[in-house]
Amino acid sequence: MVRAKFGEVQGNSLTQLSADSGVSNAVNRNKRKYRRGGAVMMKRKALVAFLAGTLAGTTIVLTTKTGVSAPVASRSTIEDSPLSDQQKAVHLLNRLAYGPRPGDVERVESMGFGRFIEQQLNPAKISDSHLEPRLADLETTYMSVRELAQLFPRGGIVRRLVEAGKLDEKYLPGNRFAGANQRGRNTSDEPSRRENPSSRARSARDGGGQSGEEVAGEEVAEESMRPGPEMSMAAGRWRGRGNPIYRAITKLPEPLELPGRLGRRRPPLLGVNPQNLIVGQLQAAKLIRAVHSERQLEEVMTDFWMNHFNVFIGKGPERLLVGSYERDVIRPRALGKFRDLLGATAKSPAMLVYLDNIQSVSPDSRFGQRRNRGLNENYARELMELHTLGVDGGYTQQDVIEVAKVFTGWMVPGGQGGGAASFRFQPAAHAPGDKKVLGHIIREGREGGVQEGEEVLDLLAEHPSTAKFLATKLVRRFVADDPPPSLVGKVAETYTATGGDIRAMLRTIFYLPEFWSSEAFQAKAKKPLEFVASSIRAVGGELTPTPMLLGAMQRLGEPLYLCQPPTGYPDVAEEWLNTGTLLFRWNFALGLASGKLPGVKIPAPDALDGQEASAVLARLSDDFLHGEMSSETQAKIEGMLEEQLAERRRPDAPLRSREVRYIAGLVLGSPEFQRR
Amino acid sequence: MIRSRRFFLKSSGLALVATAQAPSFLRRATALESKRKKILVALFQRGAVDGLNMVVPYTDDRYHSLRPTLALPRPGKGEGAVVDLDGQFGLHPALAPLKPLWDDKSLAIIHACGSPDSTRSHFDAQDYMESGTPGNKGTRDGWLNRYLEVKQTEELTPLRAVSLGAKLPRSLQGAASAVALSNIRDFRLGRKMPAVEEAFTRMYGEMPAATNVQRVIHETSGDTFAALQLLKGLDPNSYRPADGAEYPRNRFGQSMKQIAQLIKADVGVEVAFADSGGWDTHTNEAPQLNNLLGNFGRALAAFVTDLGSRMQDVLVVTMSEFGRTARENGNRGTDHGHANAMFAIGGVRGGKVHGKWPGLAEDDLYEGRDLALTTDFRDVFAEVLDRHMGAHKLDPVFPGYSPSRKRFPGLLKG
Repeated sequence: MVRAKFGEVQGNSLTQLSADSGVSNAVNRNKRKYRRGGAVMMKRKALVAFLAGTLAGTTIVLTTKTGVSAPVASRSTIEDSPLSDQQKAVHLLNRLAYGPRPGDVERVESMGFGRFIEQQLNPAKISDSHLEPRLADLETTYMSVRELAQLFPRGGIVRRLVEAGKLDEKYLPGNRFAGANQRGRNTSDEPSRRENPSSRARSARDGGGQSGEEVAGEEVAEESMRPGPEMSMAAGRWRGRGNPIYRAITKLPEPLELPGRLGRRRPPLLGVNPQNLIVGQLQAAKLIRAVHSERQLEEVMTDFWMNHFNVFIGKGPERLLVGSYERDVIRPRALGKFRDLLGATAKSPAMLVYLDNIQSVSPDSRFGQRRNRGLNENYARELMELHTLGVDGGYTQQDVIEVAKVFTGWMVPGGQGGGAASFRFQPAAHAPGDKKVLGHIIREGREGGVQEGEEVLDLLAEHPSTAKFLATKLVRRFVADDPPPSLVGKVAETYTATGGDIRAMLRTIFYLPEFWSSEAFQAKAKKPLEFVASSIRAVGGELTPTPMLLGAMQRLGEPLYLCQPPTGYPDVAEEWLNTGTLLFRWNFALGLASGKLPGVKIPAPDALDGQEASAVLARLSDDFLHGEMSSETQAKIEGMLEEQLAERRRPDAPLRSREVRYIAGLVLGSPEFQRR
Repeated sequence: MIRSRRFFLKSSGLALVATAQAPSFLRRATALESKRKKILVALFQRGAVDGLNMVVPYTDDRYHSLRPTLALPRPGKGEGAVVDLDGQFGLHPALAPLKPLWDDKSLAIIHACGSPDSTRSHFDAQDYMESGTPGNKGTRDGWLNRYLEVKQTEELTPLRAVSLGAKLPRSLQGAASAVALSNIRDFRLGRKMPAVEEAFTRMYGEMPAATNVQRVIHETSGDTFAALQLLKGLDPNSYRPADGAEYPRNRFGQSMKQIAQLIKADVGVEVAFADSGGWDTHTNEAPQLNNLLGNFGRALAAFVTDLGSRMQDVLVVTMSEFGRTARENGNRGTDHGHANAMFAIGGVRGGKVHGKWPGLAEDDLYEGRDLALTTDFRDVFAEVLDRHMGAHKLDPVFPGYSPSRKRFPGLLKG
């Protein structure tokens, strides 16, 4: 058990909980009982309180990893908040996590708010042993880029099937019109199911430097999802029944030599483009983590940085790169120093490919002279506009050009083929001579230009505009859509004072009076990922993502890893709520609560059978909304429910479980549940 | 940040529930119609259609020499010959269903048109064409959405802009409200529970709207209930196209059919969008293109037949992110190229191939390999918005471009 000390909260909280305590076990055990039904659900709160009580004897002392402790005023900040204790717990779970699971609110209340914050700020100390088995099946998320490139040649499996005479050649990449699995495909793009090697070579010769590209990353998320009761229909399709390629694989008299474990275990998932399996597994893993990881803040921040440093998995070889980008570049640094994160993204193949830096060649370099190639300003511009200074951060077009020169030669070996596994500096593409960036002279690098780039990254990371820009975005994520300048100032100060320490900035935010104000409470609209994860968490669901569920993310407006523009997904209410997506949220809520949503197992609400509608509504509203639905609204809905039910049978008849689930769907679809 | 432009029912959704079929809405929409609202249907051929085999410069000997196996025979020269248009250009034979439109001057073609940006990346090129800002990746919203913003109308309806497909295309993303519909049938709430809609209406009608986020949720719900009412009773399965129009049964055909249905139902559609996929023909192009263009042409022809006299208010514009190489490659296909051809169908200066033809001589090719560009796609879009849709302030729609009538290709009557 991890022993640690966190002085500030220690004196505050009587209940001492370990970061690695049995709480999650307890909650899980509790959930299992809940699932069995009976009266357990009604007793849940009492049980949690009991468990918290038994754990109170365990003395654990927490300390912060960085040694930066919370401001002295912090305890009183939380105490002085106008929010009730229940609201405080809900607020923390909605902002630092993807919403409360059954029992979470009580758990946070009893462990202490400061302790919860500190625990979440130090994810390495939180055991996530329950997450691992849930991810185990998603084997491609553990693979290196190189492994993926070897196992998933474009169209390779299909081609091998055709060559083995097991599949008609109309299913070859490029011949897809013939009808393999066309459903739901045509909406966004029919991609280039790659040409064969000779054609590729030709494209390269022709100067089609991007010939290895296709745009159909959306395909996996594209599988159409029907709302409401028909949701279950789509699930089988991705698994491949009805997919001729799947049939060809499964009907083979002897095993075809397919790559590794995939050949043995998962032919149904192969689909037309085997690389889509990677995308599907990556999306599945992200949802599972959001729902089931105990390291909730780390997941929230990983998502935050994935959007800040956005890449689009549908571009070129990004299918092979994005998993490693998130796993190896973003997540380990999500709470660390911003400069580390910036440097790691700058050298990541995913970013170098996405923002075209691998295409950027100085016209004055050896490559440039020989191949008549030129600068590509894309990375340089977004580096300043989106990653550091912000659009009004004080740079000029000339700065963009100079920064582009600095980063010439930051490439990956082998171009953007398949094996772009690592960063490599290519001196022959690098612009010779000194550069001038934001008024600073960047001397020609003695070691060939990597150092020039590092200097520019230092310059940008230390710039006050960067402090302000990052502070604004963090305050927008955690406090309000329109970040008050005074708050931004305080968080920016922390950035400057700590040398860009993300954890310290977050701690500043979490102890601001404004964070705990009634104005901030429930002031953010849940974005689709937050809505989906929080609703599954609210019902205590067990998630095994299906293509249909991943497709739901698309219908809700946030297909995972598929944000095309470099801005990443937005973080304000107006961008997420529109006519189509709100309707889909309602249908999702009804589908989830009905228990028929493929990929989510939810505990049966048997405990509520036989109760009156008003009692059920009150109970579910309390469970999912924790008192946030006003009593007036509740009364109106109660009246309506009773009318509706009365029309169908004797007024005093007990509710059936289907009706209980319907009411649960209403609550998850309520306006209150769209906010956090 | 109040979205005052949103269509919103002051009476909240509650009033709607009382009237089962909401005739008041249909009446309102019908009233709109009497003002002869102009409608734009934008169609995207994803994957880059081979414009040189779609609208064939058959008199150019270079066309035939550059494409030893893919070149289509001159008109009348046997099976698979092009359908002559004007003695210089011909349609791919699979597009024969469009020939009557050419003949009655409701089909205009613009050739050697596209994005001035040199990218050959599908991703970037589609992004540029949809954002309307070639070369600038930072643009968040799409050109059609900016049009909706620029030309705000009195009578807003939640279905002013509709895309057929699961996802709102980049062209329609942005601040103005737009709806993505996979299928009209999908736009329903909790099918098996008739009371569901009333429950949601009541919950959202009762909600407070004090904070910004509450207002956004409340207003959006108003739009949603209104859209639900408007689409109620529109069953695509029982829809009968007029005059025996037959849409292909593929996704694109069904999208076109539903767009026609929405237009004819007078639910206030002003901009409609649909995708057609599969055009990235690197290998074995001929049979694929035959199939794709066949479906494409039949869908367009069915749409025009189906709409009948309503076509006088409707303009259909097709686009694709870039053209394909003038030469065929070693796989009887073509690779990513540059300029392309677009169709405009409706009240156009039809029966004409617009745009300056750059030729296919070695020196005339862009970077020695692709059809060169003589018309910027933004000039086509700008002309459509100006002359068809009546939006005259277009600088905000095409930032950094300053659209000018002098550059309009002249597809529409001025």
